[in-house]
Amino acid sequence: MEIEAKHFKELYKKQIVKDRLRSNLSKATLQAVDSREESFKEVDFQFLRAQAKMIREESVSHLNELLSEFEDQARKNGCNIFYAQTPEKARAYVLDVAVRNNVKLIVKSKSMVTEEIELVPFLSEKGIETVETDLGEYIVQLAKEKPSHITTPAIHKSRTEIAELFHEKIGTEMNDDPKFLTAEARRVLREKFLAADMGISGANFLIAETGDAVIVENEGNARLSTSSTNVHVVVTGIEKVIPKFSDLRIFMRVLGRSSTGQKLTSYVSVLRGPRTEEEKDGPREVHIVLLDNGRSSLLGTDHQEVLNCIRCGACLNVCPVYRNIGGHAYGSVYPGPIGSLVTPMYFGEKNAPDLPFASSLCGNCSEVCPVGIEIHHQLLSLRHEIVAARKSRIERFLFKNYRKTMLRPGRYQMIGRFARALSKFSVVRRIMKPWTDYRDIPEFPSQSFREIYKSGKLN
Amino acid sequence: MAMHQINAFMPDGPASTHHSTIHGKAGSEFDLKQDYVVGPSGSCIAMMRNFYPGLLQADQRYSQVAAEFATRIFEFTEFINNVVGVEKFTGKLNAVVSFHDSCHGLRELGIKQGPRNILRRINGLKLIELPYNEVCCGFGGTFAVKFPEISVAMADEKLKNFDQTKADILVSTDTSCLMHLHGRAKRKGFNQRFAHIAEIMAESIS
Repeated sequence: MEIEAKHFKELYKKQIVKDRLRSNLSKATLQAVDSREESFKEVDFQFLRAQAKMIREESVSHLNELLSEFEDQARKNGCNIFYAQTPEKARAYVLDVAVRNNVKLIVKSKSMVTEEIELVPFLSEKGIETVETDLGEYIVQLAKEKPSHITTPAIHKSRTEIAELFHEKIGTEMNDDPKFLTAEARRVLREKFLAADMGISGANFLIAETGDAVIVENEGNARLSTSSTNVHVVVTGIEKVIPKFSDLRIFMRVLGRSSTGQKLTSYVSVLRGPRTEEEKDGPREVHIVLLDNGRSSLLGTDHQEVLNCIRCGACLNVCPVYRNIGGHAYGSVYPGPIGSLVTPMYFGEKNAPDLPFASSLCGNCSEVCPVGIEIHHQLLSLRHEIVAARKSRIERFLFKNYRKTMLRPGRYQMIGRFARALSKFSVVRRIMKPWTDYRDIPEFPSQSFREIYKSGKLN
Repeated sequence: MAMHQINAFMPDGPASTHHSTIHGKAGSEFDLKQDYVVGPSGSCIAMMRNFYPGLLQADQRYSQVAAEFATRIFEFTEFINNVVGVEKFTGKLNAVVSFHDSCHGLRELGIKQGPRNILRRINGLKLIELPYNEVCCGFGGTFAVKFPEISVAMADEKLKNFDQTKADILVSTDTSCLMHLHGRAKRKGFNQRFAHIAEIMAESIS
């Protein structure tokens, strides 16, 4: 699959000059950072994180066993399970379910995996209308854009831009009051829920012990998407499985706080298969599509911990790179620090050669990660791999000489003297354009510290 | 240093001491078992302390010495606080300063209060904290030249916050953050001063 991330260098340059975008992002992400910090004050973040990390590590290292257990339980609950190796296979399965049930309209709640496999455009192409019912996703769908954040998809838009969009697309009056806009979206979406024949959702967690799919949300749209139609399809990644129901007690405390600074999201739905005979509502048919798409290839490698991710979005909010370029610049459904890992890992390093380098490695992402992924060290290790595979002759030449120089004090000092002497000439300054186009360079002193030190002037 | 019976000397190796220091070639006076290496930059120290042992793990010649070396190397303010003893230092300097936490100092080495403890021991010095003082300044090594537009956008945020503090000097423990921020500040016409904490200490005792 060819993805836009290949063109990161062009994409980010287009985004970074958009002042309104940067101001929207700065406001929204810093607010999320502050709320997150505030919400963790009343609990012991380090303790919860250690627990969450332990459970996720345990889950990922026993992925095979846990998936079989989940599969058995979910089948007992009446669900159909489908393992999809590739996006193509996942899409084909969902289409097949829709066609067999004569589906014309699908209501869908948030799921990054459906974005990963480009499910909605695929279904539209096949003549099946799929409506995003998460407010942020709905905004993005109306604007014919892609989400720019994994938990707050329309974070790049201000409320005025959203008011303009609604005015243009669904004919609401120009009013940028968030309550008004939400009510308008609700009015349109209620009709869709009533008319829909199928619901699609993601899942935040799959529980091996019980076969449950757990969905965490704030708008109630996921609950409606998964219960108001006869057919419900869950599309999620194989890594989402955790061993026990009681493990949720840890994740429920860290997930909402990490994402939005909430103690708990407004809705937590635990879905256990189709309706039973005693139940009056709920779907009659439930399918769970488990996507691999590169995930299992990370098992047993140094990158395995990346699968621990619970997609909270905290690393995006704290990332100063993300804050300045926004999610669309990454050219991937997974932007920000975790996206710079997941994108090359799922779609191939050749598809995203620049992303692991697009970080100052400040480490704020690792600091806030609720499952303790060493995100910036993972970025560094991806850089190692990419550089080792790449044949950039200039870079190799430079580093080879750097090595030689660092091994020989005499050579090091000589090069220092040369550099100081040559720094006066503009030709040398021109080589440093990527620096000097944006910033001044300090004046080079005529003597190095070593020379001053040796002359005895320091004492 | 001389005041506190610390013998400072500069080894013959390159500034970032990759090979010669670790190999014990640093000069006959240097003893890996009891002497210290001190550096003015959190990034360099983090590299040598946190990453050398891993990088050299498979190398029989260096694995042992890298692990030992990691325990003998200190970032300047760590050294003042944890080895020399910060109480031995007092100074006097009339200045309003702000402090920039370097990411590698902060997150790789856990340096947060140490530099502030030092600054507090300078009479006449007033420290005004930067808003969002734990956000990266945008230097990031090769990142600064690979993605210069992003790098300076981050610097501009930092400079905007610094400007708000109305402080005269931005003090930091990391020379590369300072070079980047100062370079950008000059280009944008800011007049404030950018100084390493060691410079401020030296001025406060002279």
